[in-house]
Amino acid sequence: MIPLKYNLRSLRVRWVTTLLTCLAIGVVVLASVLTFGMIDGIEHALSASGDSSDLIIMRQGANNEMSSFISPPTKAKELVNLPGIATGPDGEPLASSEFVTILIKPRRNHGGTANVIVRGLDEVGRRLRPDFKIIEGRDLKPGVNELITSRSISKRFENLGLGEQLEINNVNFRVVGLFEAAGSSAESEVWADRRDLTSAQRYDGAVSVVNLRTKDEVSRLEIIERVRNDDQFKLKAITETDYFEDQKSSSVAIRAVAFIIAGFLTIGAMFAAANTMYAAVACRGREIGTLRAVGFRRRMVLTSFLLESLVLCALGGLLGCLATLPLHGLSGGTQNMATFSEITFSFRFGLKVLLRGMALAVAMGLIGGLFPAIRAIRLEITDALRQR
Amino acid sequence: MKLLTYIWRNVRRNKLRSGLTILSMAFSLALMTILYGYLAMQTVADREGSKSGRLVVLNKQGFAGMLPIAHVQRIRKLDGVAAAIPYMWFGGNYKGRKMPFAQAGTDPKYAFDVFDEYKISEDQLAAFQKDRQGCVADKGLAEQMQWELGERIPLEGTYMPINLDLRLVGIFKAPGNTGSLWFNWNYLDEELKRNMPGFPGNAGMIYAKCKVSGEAAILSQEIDATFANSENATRTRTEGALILMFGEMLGDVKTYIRGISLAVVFALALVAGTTMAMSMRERTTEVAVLKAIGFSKLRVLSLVLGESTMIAILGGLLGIAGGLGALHLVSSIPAAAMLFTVPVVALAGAWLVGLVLVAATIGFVSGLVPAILAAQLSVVNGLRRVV
Amino acid sequence: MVQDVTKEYRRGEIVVPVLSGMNLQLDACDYTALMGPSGSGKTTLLNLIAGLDKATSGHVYFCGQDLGRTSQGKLAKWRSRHVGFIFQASNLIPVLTAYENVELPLTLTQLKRRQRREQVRTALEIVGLAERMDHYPRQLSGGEEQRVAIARAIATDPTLIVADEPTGDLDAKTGNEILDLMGRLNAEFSKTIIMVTHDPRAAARAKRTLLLEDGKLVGNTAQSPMEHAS
Repeated sequence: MIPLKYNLRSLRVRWVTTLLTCLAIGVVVLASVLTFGMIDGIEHALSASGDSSDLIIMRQGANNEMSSFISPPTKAKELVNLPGIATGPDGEPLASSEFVTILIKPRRNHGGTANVIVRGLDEVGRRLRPDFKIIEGRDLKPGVNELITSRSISKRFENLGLGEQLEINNVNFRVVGLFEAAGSSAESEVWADRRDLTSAQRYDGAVSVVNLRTKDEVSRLEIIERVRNDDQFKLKAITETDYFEDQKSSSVAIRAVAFIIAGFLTIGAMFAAANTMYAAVACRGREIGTLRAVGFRRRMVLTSFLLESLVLCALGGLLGCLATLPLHGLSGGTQNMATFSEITFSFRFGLKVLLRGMALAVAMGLIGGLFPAIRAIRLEITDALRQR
Repeated sequence: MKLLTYIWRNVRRNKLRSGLTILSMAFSLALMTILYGYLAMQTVADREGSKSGRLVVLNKQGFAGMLPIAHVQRIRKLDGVAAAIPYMWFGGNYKGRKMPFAQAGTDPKYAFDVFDEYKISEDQLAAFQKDRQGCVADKGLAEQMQWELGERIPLEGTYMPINLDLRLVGIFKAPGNTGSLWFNWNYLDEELKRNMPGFPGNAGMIYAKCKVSGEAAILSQEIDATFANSENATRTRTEGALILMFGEMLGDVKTYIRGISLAVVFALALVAGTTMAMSMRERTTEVAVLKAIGFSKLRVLSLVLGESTMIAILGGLLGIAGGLGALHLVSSIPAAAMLFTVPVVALAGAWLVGLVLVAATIGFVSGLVPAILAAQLSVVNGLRRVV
Repeated sequence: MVQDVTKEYRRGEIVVPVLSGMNLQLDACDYTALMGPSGSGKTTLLNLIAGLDKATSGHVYFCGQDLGRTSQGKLAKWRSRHVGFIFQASNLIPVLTAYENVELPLTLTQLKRRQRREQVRTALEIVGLAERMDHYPRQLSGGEEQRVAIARAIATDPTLIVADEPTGDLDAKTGNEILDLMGRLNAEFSKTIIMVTHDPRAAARAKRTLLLEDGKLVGNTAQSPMEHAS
């Protein structure tokens, strides 16, 4: 085998070309990794939300919480009394009747408007969210039109900062606290007291869904059955994990777009890598002839050039991945197609995402370097020795 | 021989290298075309929307709020309003597929007055107005779904707990593929009242046609003022503004698109620059000879810059054409029709020219360093170079 | 060792006969020079003997093995074991040091690192450049480069040394040094050498000179190894 240092040093000798090509590949890998990181962030925001022992009870035909309503609202009260529901420390059932609506509100910094989820719930609802805690200000008090929301929402939307007032149907609600909930979908929402919200919206006492936690697997299946078939209810019960999984499936379109973008970028950069390698092969004709004269087989020369191409692209890939470091945790917000409302997320550059980026770099190296490598060995030795 | 010819021959000299660079540019510019084409569509839709002289009335709070059907009558009475219709989004499932096309309940009597650029035959319109369960569909949609007149179209309600049993009685032609199906609002309302007593007639959205399209802004304010103090206050926008609003909801995605484009441009400049540098390195003797013969520095400069720019523009044009083609392909998929409210052909505009300029600039900038180096090359050194 | 009945056509679009009816025998310890005008086919003949190229018709045998019937891959292996090359331009790999250049053919063997080191040192010592082994080709003079090339050629201790205009790029004094070295290889180390050259003084160093013209052998002068013109 031709020693690798031959390739490494050859790359270094033409360092300007090597550097420029690495940079170009790095930029492409960076862009691809950013894309994947964004998708991953969005999906994480969705999946971190689901607890498999939690059920969401909705109207039978509804596809999401916003289009669901439980009518008459008394059914909700009956649901709370079902056996098999887990209980909290004070013995009260962990079942929360909630009213969900979406409002069009303006973003800060001329970011246009977006649909924001506003959820009216009672105190118990907080136990059903993962790791809920107030991080600034205080929790809201029922009856006085107060709101709490996440830090990302408060930063992104007008009138939703701590102390600011948001108008809901001509009623002013004041933001009194900011909360955190393990990065779950709750952090894309604004919360109010249920009665305050329904009364502001002139839907007094309305209930969209009931969120509840089951004691165990058995009672969960029982409750699902009962809710579905019992004449008393005739509603839909879906586990939280399934609910959010479903939503992810509508992000399939975004995923597809992301892969297409990454694909275009990679193919574009692949041609660049090929160009660089072709030039390298072209000016090393005599070297190649000598190597083969001395006894290195065609196969070895081919592999050598492929490796060189790989190293070139892998270096670029590493650069691109490293460049994501300062961007980790950057947050963004976009439309969740399934709920037709805003979802905030953080860019996530986990191992999987970075590996995907490196895989692209490797692909560029292999495919882009293949044809130049083939050209390297195509000449007859005597012709190669004659070059330059 | 003209300078341009010489430049062209130089481009063709190393076909492989030029070809690869052109392809690299083409793919990247195709991507940018697709991304910016999507953004451009928003702008064009807004422009077209404003031309149509149509307004969309929503509850002030957004889609969650309702507009009582009585609002429609009041809007009709306003001076300046030519016609107004309710537009209740149904969003139902069809044959097991989740909302594969747009469905809305509206007023058959005035629908085609509000959407006056949509064409439908007289008798089909009459049938629509007569048949309570009748519906009309966009021609493109009907062809994609292979529907015939008289076809039975059952829709399963999702966020409305009722099902609709519709019959296709007409096909209309719209400038683009709207992918929509319209049915009778009254039918919807009756079914709702039957299954959900106490659900007052919700018009959903209201579309109003201005008598004079220039008066859209004034009319919007008038409408909102009319209902400002009612239970269901309104927010009226032009049709274009509504489409823009949907685009805005994608939020950071726009920033992302811009970011990606920046990255692409940067990477491309690097790639093109590398190519030119490689080419020029091989031609030092040749450049020295040219200078010896009498080529001025400026000429040499133009030679190199011309070559890099030409390659870039070729790649750019190829890429833009490819990108537009891809957009066209995607827009003919029914599910995507809702996103592509404007036919790709109508997208042509300044932004395309902008992209070509971007390509040319990349070519120019990437060729600068090699060009300057070549222009400054000392003839003696150039002729001596053995390597 | 090498017995050779060949005719050869170089194909391009035109059929060009380069060698026709060539017969040649090289024995062990031979030191043969090939001379002739440009286009006489001497480099082509050299390439055939070295296994770099194949004859259009006829056979090239090396110790009974027909090189024409050996696959490319096997030929490469054969070359790495039996042939050492000296080119007109030293053809050293510029990014490798002298040591690494000489080591190159040895990496094709199964030798361990330490063993390779021994052989490289020995080769470099023979050519007198042991202390420059960590220098890159650009740091060496033309003559020194060529000497490293010779070291590379003998590193695997091959039986046959093939030289194509070894002194072509060098001035008279340096050229002489190289020729002295080659003489030593033949006399002291029993290497069989076949050399293509323009320079009659170089040819004079060889034991016999073969003259080629238009692809045919036209002359053969044998010389005693004692005679050499300086």
